[in-house]
Amino acid sequence: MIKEPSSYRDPSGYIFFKEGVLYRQVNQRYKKEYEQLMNSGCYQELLEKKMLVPHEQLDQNLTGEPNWLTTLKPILVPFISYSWEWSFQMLKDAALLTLDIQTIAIRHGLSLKDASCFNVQFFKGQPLFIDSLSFEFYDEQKPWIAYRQFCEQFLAPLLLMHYRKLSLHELSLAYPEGIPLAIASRLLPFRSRLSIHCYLHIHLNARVSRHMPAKSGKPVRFNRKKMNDVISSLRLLVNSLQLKESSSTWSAYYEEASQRDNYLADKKQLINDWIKKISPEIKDASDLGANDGEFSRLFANRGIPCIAADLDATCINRLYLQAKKENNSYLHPLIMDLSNPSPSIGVNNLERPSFLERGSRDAVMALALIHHLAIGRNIPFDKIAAMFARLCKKWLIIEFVPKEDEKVQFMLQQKQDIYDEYDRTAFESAFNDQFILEEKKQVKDSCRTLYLYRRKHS
Amino acid sequence: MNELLYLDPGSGSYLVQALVAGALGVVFFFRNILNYIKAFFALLFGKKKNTDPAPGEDPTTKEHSEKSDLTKN
Repeated sequence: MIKEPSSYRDPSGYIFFKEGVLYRQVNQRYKKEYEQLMNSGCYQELLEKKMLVPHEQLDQNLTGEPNWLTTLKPILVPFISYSWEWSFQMLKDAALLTLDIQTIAIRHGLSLKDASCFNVQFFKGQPLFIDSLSFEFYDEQKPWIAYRQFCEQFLAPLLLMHYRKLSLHELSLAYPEGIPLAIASRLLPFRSRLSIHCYLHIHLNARVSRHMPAKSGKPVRFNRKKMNDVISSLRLLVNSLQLKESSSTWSAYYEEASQRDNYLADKKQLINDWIKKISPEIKDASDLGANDGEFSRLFANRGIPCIAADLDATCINRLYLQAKKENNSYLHPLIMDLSNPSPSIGVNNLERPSFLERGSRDAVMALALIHHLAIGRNIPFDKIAAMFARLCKKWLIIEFVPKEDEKVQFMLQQKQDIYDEYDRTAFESAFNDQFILEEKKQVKDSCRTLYLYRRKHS
Repeated sequence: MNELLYLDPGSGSYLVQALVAGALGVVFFFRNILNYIKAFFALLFGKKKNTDPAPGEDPTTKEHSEKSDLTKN
């Protein structure tokens, strides 16, 4: 049995793996709350609305612990992502889901005891709440215990992005437990104080907390109406937020690329044929440097779940919105800078694993990416090949963009050409160490080459 | 012992929330009045109804609250 390293906070139970299967143990102390969740109709309603992770209840003590109450076998979310990899709209949807769950829970005599981004994951294109033990009994006399956490983990980053018109997903990596309200309050512009809801939840909250004694003798009086007002206000505020799209470097890439004659059509055809060929062997994929996900869809269209990763937050936000509109349940948009992938963080650096530890897929595709890593970021081919070897389990589709290419030429205009090693031979030799060449094809109307590699198994 | 102590709601978080909720009570009271007035005039002039959810109204009983968002973006 392996205990999940991030599942240590809550004494109500924990996540563990046994023989590769994920389980959740519920401890004795959580008995009443668990029964309330299951018997009040709350679980059922959340399941019908696809808000909470479904589980199967096994009455088998797999850990052998005396405080065992029951064992749950939740469905497995195949890819875990974190808020520092989410676009604005993804975080916003996760926030709204948390508020909706709180509203439903209250109706069933329960309340969320935490409001953490880590409790939400994207599954089949939608946010899903994955912690079935986050519920406590609702006591009308008491305020929402997770209120501050909600403000710090969801509200503060969303407001900062809204008011500063910037994607600031990286802030969540610096503050994985949420942006402290005193900091958020100082980073927000003055006009954010003119919104009464923002003023109350962030500025007033930060100010009063600073001057508040650690313990106050007076009990706080609260009631259901107040709770509803707080939730409604948070919902109104979150709903009103948006990230004004500024056109980023990459957001018009395909519009421009599509003007390049047959290049795109031919490339698509070639890749589609390859995906068709390898599809019996792959159950998941990732498209690195996905831009607006046009090529990620070639996997998605065949029912293969695909992580569409790009460092451009605007592209990823747009892709998420588009996929959501289409009800595309196979795409998982993700903000990722491959020259600096998400690190592992948290307790013992094990709590939130790095992207390289989480992100390996059966098939990996990297189109028009290599020159950005090799020339844009000066990364040698062997290091790039080593990274792909870690991210790819079976098949790699990669495009080589030579120096003669106009895009590379454009890059080289802005910097010194110190890349003597940057050529096809060096590229092939670096990748041949880790992969076996299956096919190689020239893309029409360009000097670019597509490679289909099979991963070597050591 | 309170099981939830491990969450550490932060010093004074409850008190702040009570303060915020108090202020919101006033905000929503006036907002409701304003909505009634708007609705009255809308009815009078046959304009489209204000679609903002009323405070305290539970959007989860209708449809998933984020759906309406899509059209905005």
